[in-house]
This record gives sequence, structure tokens and C-alpha cells, in this order.
Amino acid sequence: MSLSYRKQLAEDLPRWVAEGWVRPEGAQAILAEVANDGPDRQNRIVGILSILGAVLIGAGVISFVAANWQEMPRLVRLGLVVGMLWAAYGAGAFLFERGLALFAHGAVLVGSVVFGASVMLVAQMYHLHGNPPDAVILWAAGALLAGLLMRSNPSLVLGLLLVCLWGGWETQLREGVFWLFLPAWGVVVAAMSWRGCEYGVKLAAVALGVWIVSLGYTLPGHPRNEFVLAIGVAIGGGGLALQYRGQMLRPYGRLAVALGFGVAIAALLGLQFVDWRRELWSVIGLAAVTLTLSLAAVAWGVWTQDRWLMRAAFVAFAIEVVSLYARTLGTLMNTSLFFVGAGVGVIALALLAFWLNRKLGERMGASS
Amino acid sequence: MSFRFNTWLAMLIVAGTQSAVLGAMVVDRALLIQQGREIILDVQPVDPRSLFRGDYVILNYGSISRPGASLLKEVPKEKRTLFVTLRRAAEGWQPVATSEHYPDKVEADDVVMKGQLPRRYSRQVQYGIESYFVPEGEGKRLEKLIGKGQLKVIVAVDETGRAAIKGLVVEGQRVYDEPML
Repeated sequence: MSLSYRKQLAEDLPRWVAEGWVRPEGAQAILAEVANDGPDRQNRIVGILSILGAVLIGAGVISFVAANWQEMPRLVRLGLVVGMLWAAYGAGAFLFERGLALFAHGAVLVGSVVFGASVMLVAQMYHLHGNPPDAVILWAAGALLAGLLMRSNPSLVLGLLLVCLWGGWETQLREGVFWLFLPAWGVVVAAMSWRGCEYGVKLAAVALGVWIVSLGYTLPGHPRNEFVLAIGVAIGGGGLALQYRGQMLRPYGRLAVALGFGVAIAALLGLQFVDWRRELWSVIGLAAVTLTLSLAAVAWGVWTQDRWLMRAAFVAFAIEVVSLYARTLGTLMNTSLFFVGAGVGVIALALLAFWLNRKLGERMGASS
Repeated sequence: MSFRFNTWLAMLIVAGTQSAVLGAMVVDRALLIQQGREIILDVQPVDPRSLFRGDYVILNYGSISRPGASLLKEVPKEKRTLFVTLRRAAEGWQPVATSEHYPDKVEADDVVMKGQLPRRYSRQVQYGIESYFVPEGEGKRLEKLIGKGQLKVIVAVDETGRAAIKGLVVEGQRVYDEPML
């Protein structure tokens, strides 16, 4: 529970007690429960530290491999690294069994990183040049296996990051769309959903968004931002439908709205500012669409209490305004006119919202 | 009790599978080096550090890495496998033919290597033998030797065309510093 929430309650409760809505004992009990989040927060710190420690140990093992230290025969080095792999997973199982899950996740993550280091060591032993992304996807598969079977979400997140690295690398190598990213992404998301790894699914949504946006610059005949815009609108629309009547899938609807919004905005920005051949009037038209979409997203964020969407929408609004300013609409006079016009439009929208709210309030008052 | 069993079983499967994958990679390479046909290739200077794997020297095999336009008339548009037939000449091994599939007939003395065209519209063929890993700080010495033309690479090639670095020839001396394991 956040500090601001606790503070808010401490301010509100005495008033609610005075109004007679909450009994004094109830207020005490509520404050006591809210104050009792100490152990939870400590646990989070332990978890974060344990993961950071695991990352550092993993980096140490990778550097050991990279140093290519000749004092020790290769096979001994490989034996050492594979021994560490077993020790890490063994420690993970032991710690899970002892109920020390926070440390167990760190141990499993060490195991997953050491697996990657071992793959690199074998490649180094035999001077394997090959296709470097192949080693990355092999590593990703190992991390996913460990995350799924050992029930450890940090390893799943490592798997996701590796799949992204793999996808980006292949995309860069072939200078075109790398479609295999999609099924691999699907496997990771399925694993994360099954494990209930909420932050992982969110991260995966961001990764998918970046991939979709990249389509605009990798599809044959690029830039193809209008196509990306269509995908963004479709995802956002699907998300709205899910959020409206999605039952169990409602949380995914929320995520899809944010994803679709992000993709659509990125595509719109690309259409306006990357494709320089565009005519001025069409840039202005697209700018109007972008600003309207951002405002709609702010409204939707307020309506559904989706703070992240709201923040993202504000950022999108700001980026659009700044980019537009940077591109300068011919003369500063025109720019100034545009901003004044846009400002008046936004205030008109605010008035409309105010009026709607009051109407809604009146109707609710009448019906109760 | 069932949780205890599951956790340890999961651990065994994960560590076992990952070790098996690593073992398979090692055995595959060791067999290739042991059983493949041995050829010695000239290298040309290029340059380097792999983010994860440490220092290495990039090896460029001249016309083998970049077959002439007469051999490679049409550059494939997509990433594709390419088989290059090599024949020994006075100036060392030279490419004499390329094909999309392993050639049906190969002269007894010729060697076929399987390569990839990793980039679109690229004429640069990669055989997976383009990097040689060295201890930290030793890359410069080897690069100098390559610059002087005093370094050759011993490559093992199996009957499917896969190639692996088996050793180096430095200043005419055969250096077997690539143990099989």
C-alpha cells in the first residue's frame, strides 16, 4: 500500500468519523491495517536485493568466461561452470523447500544466467562463429524452462528480455521483418500468464508494442506507419471491448487499450515527423488526430482509474506539441495561431466535460 | 511432501536438460573436429571483442569468404544457405563452384563447405569459422601475424559441409592448440 494512500486515509478518516459514516473503532482498525504493511515492504526489498545479487553473480560468471583464462584447461572451465549451474538450481530447490522463496528466485536466476554463460563458453571453446542470435534464443529457452519448472518469475522475465534481444538482432541482420519473434513472444506470454506473472505480461506488452512500431520501418515498401496505425487502433478497440464486457479478461483489456494507444501514437508521430515528404496540411490534420486521441486517452484513464494510461497520454500530448513546435508550421505566426486554436479547443472540451458531469450528477440525483 | 518431490524433480529436469544441451554441443563439435576432413586455409587481416565471449580475432578467408561475381551470379535476396566447392591450387584453396544444395558429384580432391549469406544482398559468405577466441590481450599479436601473412587456419570439414576450426599454422609451424575437448 502506498504512503500517499495511508496519508490520505489519516486525513479523511477523522472527517468521516465526525460525519458519522465510520465508527471510531472502525477508523482505528482501518489505520492499523494500513500501517501494517511493514513486513510486505521489507520482503520486497529482500526480493529486489536477492535478484540484484543474482544479476551481479551472473555478470561475474560471464566475465570469467569472457576473460578466456588459459591457466585452466577448457574442459575444467566448462566443468566448473556446469557445476555452478547445478549448484544454483540445487540451492534454488533447497531454498524453496525451506520456504525462503525470495532467495530461491535469486538462485534460480543465477542458474539461468550461468546456463547462458556455458553456451558462450562452448562457442568460445570451439571458435564457433555461427549465427550469434541462435545462441541467444537457446539461452532464452533455457531460462524459460527454468522459470516454468522451478516456478520462478525472474527467470521468465530474463527469458522475455532474451527473446527481445534475439528478435532485435535478427531484425537488424536481415534488415526486414523477423516474423519468428511473434510465436516466441507468444510462448513467453503464455508461460507468464500461466504463472500469473503480472509485471512480466506488462513488460511483454511493451515489447510487442515496440515490435509492431518497428514494422512501420521494416515492412517492404517502408515507411508503413499507416499500417501500424491500423494495428494500434485495432488493438485499442479490442481492448475497449474487453474492458467493457470482458469478464475475466478485463485486466487484459486495460493492457490492450494502453498498448493500442502507444502503438497508434508512435505511428502517428512517425507519419507526421519521420516521413518528411508529407504535406503541411496533412501534418496538421494528423496532429489534430494525435492531440484528440491523447485527450480521449486522458479521459478514458480518468474514467477507468487507469493512472498509467493517463500519464502516458499526457506524455504523448507533450511530445506531439513539442515535435510540432520543432517542425514549425512555416512561420512562428502560424505556429502561434495553431497553439491558440488548439488551446481554445481543449478548453471547449473541458467545458463540455464539466457540463456532462453536471448533467450526469443531476440525473443520478433525480433517480435516487 | 509432494511439494518437496516436485521441487527437486523440477530442479533435476532443468539442470539435466541444460547440461544435456551443453553436452550435445560439445560432442557435436568434438566429432566434427575429429572426423572431418582437414584443409588449411589462408586468412587475410581484418579486426574486436565479443561482448560476452571475450577477445577474438576476425578471420577473413579472402575469395572463399567472398566468391567472385562469376561464381555467385545471383545474390539471394533472403538469408540463405550456400554450398561452396573448394579446390586446391598453387596459391591455396580456392572456390570453384557454388550451389544451393550439396553438389551431387564432388571430385575426390575437392572439399565442399556449407556457408550462410547472413545479410540481404550480401556477397559475404560465413562458414562459422570466422572468429578465433584468444586470451585477453593476445588478439593484437595474432592480428599482426595475419597482417604479415604468417597465419593459416586448419579447418575440419565433415561430409555435410559443416566446418570447424581445428588449429592454427603460425610461421609455418603447425600449432595444435585446439584440443578436441
